[in-house]
Amino acid sequence: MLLLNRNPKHEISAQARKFQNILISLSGSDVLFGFNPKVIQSLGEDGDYRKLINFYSDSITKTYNLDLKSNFNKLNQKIELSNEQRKVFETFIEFLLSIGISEEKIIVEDSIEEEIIVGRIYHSGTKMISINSFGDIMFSKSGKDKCEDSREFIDFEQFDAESLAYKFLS
Amino acid sequence: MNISLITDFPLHLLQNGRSKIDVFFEDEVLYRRDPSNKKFPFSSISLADISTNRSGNNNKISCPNDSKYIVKGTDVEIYSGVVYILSIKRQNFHVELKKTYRETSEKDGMPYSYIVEMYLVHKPDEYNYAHTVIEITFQGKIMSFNPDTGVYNRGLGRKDRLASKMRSILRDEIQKMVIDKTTV
Repeated sequence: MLLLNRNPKHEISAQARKFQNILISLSGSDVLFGFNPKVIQSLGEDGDYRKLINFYSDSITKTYNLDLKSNFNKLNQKIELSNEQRKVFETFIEFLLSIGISEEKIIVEDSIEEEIIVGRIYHSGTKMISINSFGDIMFSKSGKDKCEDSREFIDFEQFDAESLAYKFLS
Repeated sequence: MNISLITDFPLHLLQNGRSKIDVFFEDEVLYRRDPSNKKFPFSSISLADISTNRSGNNNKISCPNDSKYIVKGTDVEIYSGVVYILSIKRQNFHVELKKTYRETSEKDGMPYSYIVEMYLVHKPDEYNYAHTVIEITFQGKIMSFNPDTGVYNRGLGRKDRLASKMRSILRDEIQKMVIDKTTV
């Protein structure tokens, strides 16, 4: 698991707790439909976040990282990513993989002017992230009704994978 | 194939001297072919010369199936694939035919702004009365991909951070007009 492999032990708890909070907020959504937030909460109570990691590993298809990485490699061959763009894209995709989001939920496409589009289509609308060559991000939400639409910009310097994932998935 | 040889070419698409209509109806939609197979096709659209067909009120001007005819001079190609349906109302084009976007940034301590406008223009041609374009201007100049002028590359297509942001906004605005798709 990426969270366990990449972080020294003392960082695991804090990061896993954030991870737990994200997933609690997602339970009941179409990403984690059918999971009870109380069960997720209880998994981390004794401080053993490995249970939490295992819970998601068991819950979601195991082929996800191969699929998303294969999409990433295809994009890499098709367009020349800038360093900033690559950093944002890789970090964001790695974060999604680390919390077990499957490829079937995520759409990755390239754009005519070397932007990368990462999107989701769900029952009542779409969410889309566009990453330009400067590493700047546009996060856009579109609902069935115009009043549900929104858009915000995140400069490369302000990019944080976790908070972007929260907006994207919640 | 030559247009005169197509027996099912829809006669209601012929202009026949009709004038353009400068207003759009609230429930009117635009039809646009998209062979890309992308889930977010308008997030990667070229921001110049964006052609569509308008429906008119209750498809009186054109219907999705009319989008399959691609007329080039007197020759016609038949398109087979996805046609997206874009809502006029979603961008309030029935109220005002122009939308204005202004963004500001700073370079070397000096503030600067870009103004981009998006217009909906009914531009009938001889064999397609429904032809309608989403026209984009950057700092007052109409964006076009005409290679002789290079207007797009010097304008909205320029490689700076603010222009890139403007492009993202426009693509997002057009993508948000999509309400459905069909196959012809």
